[in-house]
Amino acid sequence: MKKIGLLISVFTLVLFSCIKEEEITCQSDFDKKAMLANYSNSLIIPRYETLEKNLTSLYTKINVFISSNSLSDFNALNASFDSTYLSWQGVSYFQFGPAETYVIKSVFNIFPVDTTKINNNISSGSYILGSASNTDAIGLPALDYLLHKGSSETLSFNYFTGTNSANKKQYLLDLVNQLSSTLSSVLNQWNTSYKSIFNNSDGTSQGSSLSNIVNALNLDFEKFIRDGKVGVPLGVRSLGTPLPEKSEAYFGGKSTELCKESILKLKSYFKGGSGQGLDDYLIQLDAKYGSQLLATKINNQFDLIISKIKALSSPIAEEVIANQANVQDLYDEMQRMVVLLKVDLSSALSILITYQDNDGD
Amino acid sequence: MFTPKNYHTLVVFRVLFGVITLFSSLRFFAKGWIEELYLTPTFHFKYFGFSWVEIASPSITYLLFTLMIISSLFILFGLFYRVATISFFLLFTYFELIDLTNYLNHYYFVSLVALLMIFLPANINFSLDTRFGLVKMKQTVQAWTINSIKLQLAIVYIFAGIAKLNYEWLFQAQPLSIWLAPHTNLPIIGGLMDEKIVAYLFSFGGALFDLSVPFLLWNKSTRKMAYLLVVVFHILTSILFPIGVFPYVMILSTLIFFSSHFHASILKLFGHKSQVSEPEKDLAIKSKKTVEIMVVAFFIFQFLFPFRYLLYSGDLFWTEQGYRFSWRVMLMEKAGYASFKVFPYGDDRSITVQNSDFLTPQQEKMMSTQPDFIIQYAHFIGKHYQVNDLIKPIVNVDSYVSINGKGSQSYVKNDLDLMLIKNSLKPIDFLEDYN
Repeated sequence: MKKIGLLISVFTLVLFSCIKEEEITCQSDFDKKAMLANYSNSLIIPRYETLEKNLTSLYTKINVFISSNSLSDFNALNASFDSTYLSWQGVSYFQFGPAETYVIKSVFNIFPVDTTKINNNISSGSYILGSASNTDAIGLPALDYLLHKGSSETLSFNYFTGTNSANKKQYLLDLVNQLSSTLSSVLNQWNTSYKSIFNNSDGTSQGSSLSNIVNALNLDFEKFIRDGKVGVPLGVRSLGTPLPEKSEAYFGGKSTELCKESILKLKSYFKGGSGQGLDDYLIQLDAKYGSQLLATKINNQFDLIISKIKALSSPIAEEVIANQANVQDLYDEMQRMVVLLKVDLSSALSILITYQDNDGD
Repeated sequence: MFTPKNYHTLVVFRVLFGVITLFSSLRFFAKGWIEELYLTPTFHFKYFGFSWVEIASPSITYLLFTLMIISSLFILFGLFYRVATISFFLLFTYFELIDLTNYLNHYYFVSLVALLMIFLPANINFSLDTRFGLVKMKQTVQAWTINSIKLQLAIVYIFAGIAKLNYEWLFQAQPLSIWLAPHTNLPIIGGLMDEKIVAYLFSFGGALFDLSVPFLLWNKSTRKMAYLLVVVFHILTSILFPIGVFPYVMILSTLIFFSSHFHASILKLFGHKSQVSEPEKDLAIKSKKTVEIMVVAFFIFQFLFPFRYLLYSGDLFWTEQGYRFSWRVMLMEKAGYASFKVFPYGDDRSITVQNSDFLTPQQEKMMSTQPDFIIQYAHFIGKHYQVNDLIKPIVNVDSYVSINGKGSQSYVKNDLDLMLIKNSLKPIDFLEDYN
């Protein structure tokens, strides 16, 4: 028994002396706080700011259109809407912290919208956009619906000259106002208190910044990108019957562009833009996929998905009818990505990924 | 086994057990887990052989949980001790049996100790039972009553240690390489946590600790140092891993290895004056034989049960047949993803199931990595999407698992109709081979 005791003491001594010695010489090569600062300073906040700028411009364009009532101003308004919708794609996976507090995703991009509800709101002229009953009558999808009422730009323009036109225009303004005020609350919280909380929360538990980044990214990719943008229109929930009307930006027919933008921005987010990102951290952790680096594998998978989107020649709503196999291909590659993100990435970052507060053992 | 011993040790253990279970139940309550783990899920994963255990209505569930908390309190104060231990054991075990995805080794430990406690006279002194004259005050207990707790603790450590004696743990320092690396933000030692050598040190240190500490605690000359190791080891694990109250359960429980004098001095802190004397020899021992048989059977079972995995040929980490109830604590990093397709009409029209429609994040995470969960869940969704009695739905799964960061591998064989597979104790044959 004495011998074991001695062994343990020696072991402990060795352990602690090792630690003491290496403390001076050995520092981790990877600065997690710097990575987090890169995420907040170069990606998250700037992308929110771009969205904010686009929204402000959209609001101005609506007002210009209201006062001029001209087709050219309507077209300018439409172009501004398109850039706003594109810039939303790059922020949808920041769903933690302030974004969670102000449920920004539900305000901005829940589709499909309930068109009857929107029309009723407009004709009655009395509505509270923030109410629970209106969650499917607001946001970018509601704007998409109202700005594309006709089969051509002229016909869509005509919608705003017909009956109730004042209410219709007011609804546009109210929708954008709601988006702007939600976004400015989120951005304001990021710029005042949340940024330093985020940058310094470099731990490993649930609620730490890295865990937030990865969990939100996983959730968004699986549920909103793979399923919302592609799977549901493709018919994976409806016995294989395509549901084109459930696709994103159904009325304006921009679903393919939006989907592509979403993946491009997600890839750059994964890479940390031009700074330190998740890919660098995975390399530092020496995370592998077979003989390949996991970071490389994930980057390649992003590229593969992008090539599958490029293979689509028209909006997803049309493709699911005309070229279902192409959309299925895209879905399958996205599914492979879910595995990489949920199994390999989660595993490499290990206990960071706790989706729900609970004990383990 | 029947040597008389001073009562102090057992009585202090009773109080500590009451404190631990009271604290952990209150914590569970306060974190909203009754709602989250028991009431929110629409589907519960059943223990094999206990599929009849159902969750009660929300109000009854809260009532039962409150009763469990009261039982802990009664154990702590030694009031209506026998009733309180029986009720605690039954309620605690009931709550564990509700959903298998909540399984934790230390819950199993608490259930086992609670079962033991029913038969231990831990209320014969320093208790309200004796204060109120419900139980006759005594000065001595039989040695087995204390030793059985010690043995129970030793089993936890030794089996946890044996489980660590595998190739990946010792020679690849896995899963600790993965688990320690993200901890570079810790003060002082943080900078070292992503060093491979540290992962090896922790792996070997952990195995050595588990295998030796019960003996070091039992031996008087090494006890103090061993207890210091216990404290350091468990505090370190509680800093590094999200393992809740388990470290504190062990830190407090292992105090039982100390002498009667030590425990008497603890009692003194609470104003209980007593003398540690040479215990009286002459105890009238009733039903010696029955006690012997019961205690021996209880521990033989525990020594054999963790080895049941040897009856299965598959890789233990991959199939998990014989993995639970074996003190395999923090032994591997396993992550998975399972996407189910149901064919309600039995033809080629399918629905891809959104797991979050039926499972909580915790349940989904557990389900994706354990074959018996996948089968249980597949049967549930098959029934859910069943159109009528005549058409048997088909359920397929596309699933991937990664063990110790080796990368995702296909898990359940593709294109199997999971509705035709039943969970049983037989070796499973529906998984791909593990590379």
